[in-house]
Amino acid sequence: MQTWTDIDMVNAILQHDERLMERCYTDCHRYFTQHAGAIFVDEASAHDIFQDAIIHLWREIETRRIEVFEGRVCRWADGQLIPMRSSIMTFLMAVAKRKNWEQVRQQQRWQLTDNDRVLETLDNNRYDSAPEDATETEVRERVVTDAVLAMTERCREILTLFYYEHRSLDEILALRPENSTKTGLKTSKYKCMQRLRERVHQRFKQLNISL
Amino acid sequence: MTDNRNLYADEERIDAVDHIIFRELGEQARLRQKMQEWDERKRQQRRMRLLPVVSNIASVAALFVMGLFLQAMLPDTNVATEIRHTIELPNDTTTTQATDSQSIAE
Repeated sequence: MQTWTDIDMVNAILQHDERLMERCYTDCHRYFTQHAGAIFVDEASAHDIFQDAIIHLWREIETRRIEVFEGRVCRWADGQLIPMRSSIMTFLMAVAKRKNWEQVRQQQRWQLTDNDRVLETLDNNRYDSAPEDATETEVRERVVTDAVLAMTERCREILTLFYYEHRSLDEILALRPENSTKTGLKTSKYKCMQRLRERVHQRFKQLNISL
Repeated sequence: MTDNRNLYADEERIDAVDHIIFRELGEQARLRQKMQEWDERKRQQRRMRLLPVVSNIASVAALFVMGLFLQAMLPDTNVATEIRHTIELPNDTTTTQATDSQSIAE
């Protein structure tokens, strides 16, 4: 079997080569399964976290926060491109662990408060840092990527079904038995979108990005 | 198909940021779909790998059951014992005949 380096992995994702991306996904999944151990509660949630972590990694690469520079895999941190000290797989595991921790924290919060109090997770210890040479458009996209990734699964599902798959509220209601009424679903959708907007606008303000 | 992005335009202000949000939602949903496809393909491959193993096990099990069935049937027939007796008989006769002719000679 051909050797598969971190550089190959980054290039495969950048090229959007589906065959290579599938291979990358399979390899990452194998590594994740071998090393996840007893960190995650159950297999289903572990798989969800793995997929979130993979999307995070891929978006980092696609938005060039991780890139190959002078033959090394580098990452933007504190406004400069620094060679990564860990491998891509170690980075993936770190993201997965962080996601798991956020999920546990959210669940604890859900038990204490209203179900809709979400999206307050990435304030501290954020992954992102905007590269100095990144254009405003790039930074804007990164902020949105992070905000969408930080959404709860419930919100992501509702918004994706509505805005991406163009499903009607009745159809979403049939797909999601958790929402009992159409009005409730409409309110949830509105709140999810509103929070997402607030989060994005707040971050833009922090980074002095114009709307 | 209706475009939900415009359907609720009045109640939800759509601005430039919303467009980036919709695009990002789409981008992440697309990646999730791909991952589902790959997971499904992996499951199918695993099933295909297991198929010959399962069929081999089934064949061995079938042979074993057939063996047990035959073993259960064997005592009822008694054919083997009868055949053995038929084969052994001439030998015994020969021995007796030899003994008889020996005694005559004496």
